[in-house]
Amino acid sequence: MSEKIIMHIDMNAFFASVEQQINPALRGKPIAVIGSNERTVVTTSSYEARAYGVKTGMTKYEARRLCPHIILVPGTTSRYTDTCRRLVEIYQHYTPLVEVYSIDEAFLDITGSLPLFGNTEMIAKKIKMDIRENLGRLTCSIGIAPNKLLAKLGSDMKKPDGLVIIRQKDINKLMEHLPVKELCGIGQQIESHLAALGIKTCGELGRASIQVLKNQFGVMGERLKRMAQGIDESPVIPMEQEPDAKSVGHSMTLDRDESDREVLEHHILQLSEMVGRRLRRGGYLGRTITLTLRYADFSTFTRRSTARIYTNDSIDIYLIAQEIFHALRLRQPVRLAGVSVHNLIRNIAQIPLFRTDKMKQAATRAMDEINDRYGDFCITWGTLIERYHHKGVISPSWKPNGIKCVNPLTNKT
Amino acid sequence: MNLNFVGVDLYRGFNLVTGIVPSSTVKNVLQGVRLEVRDGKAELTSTDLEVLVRYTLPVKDYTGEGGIVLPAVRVNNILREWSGNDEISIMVEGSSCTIKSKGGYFKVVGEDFRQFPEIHANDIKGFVEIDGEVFADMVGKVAHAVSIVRARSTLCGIFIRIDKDDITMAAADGNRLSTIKRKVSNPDGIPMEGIVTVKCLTFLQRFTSECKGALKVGIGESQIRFKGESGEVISQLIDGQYPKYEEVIPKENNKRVEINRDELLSAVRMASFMTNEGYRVVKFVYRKDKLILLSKAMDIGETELEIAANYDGPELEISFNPDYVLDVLKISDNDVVTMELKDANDAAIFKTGYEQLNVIMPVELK
Repeated sequence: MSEKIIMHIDMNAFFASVEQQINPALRGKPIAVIGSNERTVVTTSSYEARAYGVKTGMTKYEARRLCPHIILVPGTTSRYTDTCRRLVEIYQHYTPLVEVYSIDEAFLDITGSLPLFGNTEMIAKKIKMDIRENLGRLTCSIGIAPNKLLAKLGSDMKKPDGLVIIRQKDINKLMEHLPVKELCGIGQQIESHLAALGIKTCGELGRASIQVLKNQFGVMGERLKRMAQGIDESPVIPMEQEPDAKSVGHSMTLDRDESDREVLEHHILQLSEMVGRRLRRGGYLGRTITLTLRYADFSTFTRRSTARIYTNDSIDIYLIAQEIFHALRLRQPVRLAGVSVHNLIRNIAQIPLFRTDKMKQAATRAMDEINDRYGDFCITWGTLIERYHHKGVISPSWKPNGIKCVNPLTNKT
Repeated sequence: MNLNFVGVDLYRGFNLVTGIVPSSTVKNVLQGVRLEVRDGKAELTSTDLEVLVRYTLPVKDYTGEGGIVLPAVRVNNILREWSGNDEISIMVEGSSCTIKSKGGYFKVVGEDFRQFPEIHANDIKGFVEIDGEVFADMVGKVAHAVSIVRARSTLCGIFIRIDKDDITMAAADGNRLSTIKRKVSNPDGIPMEGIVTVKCLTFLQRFTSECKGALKVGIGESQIRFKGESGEVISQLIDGQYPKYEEVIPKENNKRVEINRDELLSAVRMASFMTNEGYRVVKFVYRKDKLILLSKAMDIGETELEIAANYDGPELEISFNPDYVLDVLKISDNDVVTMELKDANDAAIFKTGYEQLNVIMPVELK
């Protein structure tokens, strides 16, 4: 099989760069993009803020302590999703094989594009130039390698505005002393398990006994060894070929720990609307609705209910989530609420019988279109008007077609 | 109080009223059947507080009056075993009941019959009369279309309208509608209408098979009452306004197709084999003198089936959920089903018998 050429593009400080591009007053200054509620965390900080040690996941108080003159900017989801869509359009000029990995990362299989555009470096430079011309001062780091694993490693090696090409002949030398945690997919837990086996570098992992690794990690053991050898055969999967989603969910950390059932129901309605909208956008219907509540002590309650028919109607989802909620006695104030829908099928576009249902469908479609165009919750249920500001923060797994397999509690707030 | 029954008579009556007993309830007494002797009649009553059934038992002989609430399922099981016996005796003393027949006896603990809830049908002004079997048949012709979504409570029942000497039933679930019309005897010309729960009406099908003959039907503001020769059923109506279903019956469907019911039923069933839960769609392609059914599902396969059809219009493609089509074909009285169509995204009419009309909405063709 001929060697593939995979490119990984990672937008630098994406949310912060978009904000700095839109508001010139923020350029060159330490800024942090945060969620809109009181207890939010930093989702991205600009490189100027990073110089002070401000990192993603810090509370805004921690960020201010490190950088007293930091400018905190509440995030605007529609700006980021719109920019992501435009970036994908640029990538698609160079290859149809574009896998949107997250809102600010994408893999491109450019193997077949070389005869058209010259060499790999040329394509990378053209993409950087196109981004600058079309989207302004946004920069990206690009890694080019024979596979996705190494391409991602390459883009992480030089930031910001980097370009790293890893060629087949360089792989062994590169991996020999590379710490295992640098590989995408090896987190803290695996790292500490490997350290207990005396393995710290990819070179050591690549030479480790397959039996020892299988005993420790099961089927994952073999994959770890191959990763450490720089081997990854996973293909670039364009959006239209992605497997169907298994679930769609949203969760939000509340402004404060909440015991008021009415307020909690409003949050559940808001979450149901967010989930319903994503189902509709992705062309799905779902049947199993899960309500997740996390109490102040971080203990988590999860219960699900399966409806008799499939739906993507926000109110249907809300009524089922509400039914679960009504049957529940709150043990403590709630700090996080989540609604997700599982058991998904493709929406087959059954035409409704009654005019009122057709009008309701048309109204929902119009609401979705308005919100797509002018921003989330521009138009929403009357009950939610008072809390329209609490939009939550976009999931890092957001994709242009609106759907990705999502664990309801993985969304950052 | 002592009563003697023919085994099969007692079992049939008891088994009938047990059909309405709820399987779980917060009030224990509701899991029982009330047996009461009053004014020379032995009567069984059960209720789930929404539907109440009263049934008069044919009794061989009795002494004394009074009553008891018997545990429904347990006693029904006993009576089933003894249903072939010539005689079953029931002796009631306070809250204890002895059931005796050839070969032994059971002593069963019951409850005070005065604690048993009662539903009174006070707001029903008059009755119309219809043959019980005809009424039960009407229920069977529309029940498949009733909605199962609790959020739309008014569609979770069958709408009954009595207007002059016509009785109409309609059921819809938001994607399809089934209606049927028959004649009633309504000498006073009383107009009535209401939405009746499926539970009540499917029970009534059993009731009419036990209480043969004429059935009196009265609908009030919040209740419906059925009176047969040996019993009655009272039910709460579903509160709310039934959608104006007449408005969704198309008037301008100008493409008419006639197809043999059995052939169509078989073909649609076969086409549905190549669909799955996530994609229940069969495409109907009408061409001169034939109908082609197409279905395809990822990871399953595809099929193309052709049957003869009496059709002489332009080619038309329309897709349906095959379950909807199968449901109406199964209840068809006619050997030949008539379809009236307009276009791919417009409602289709299936005429399946005398005054039986079904509207099925298609799946949008993209």
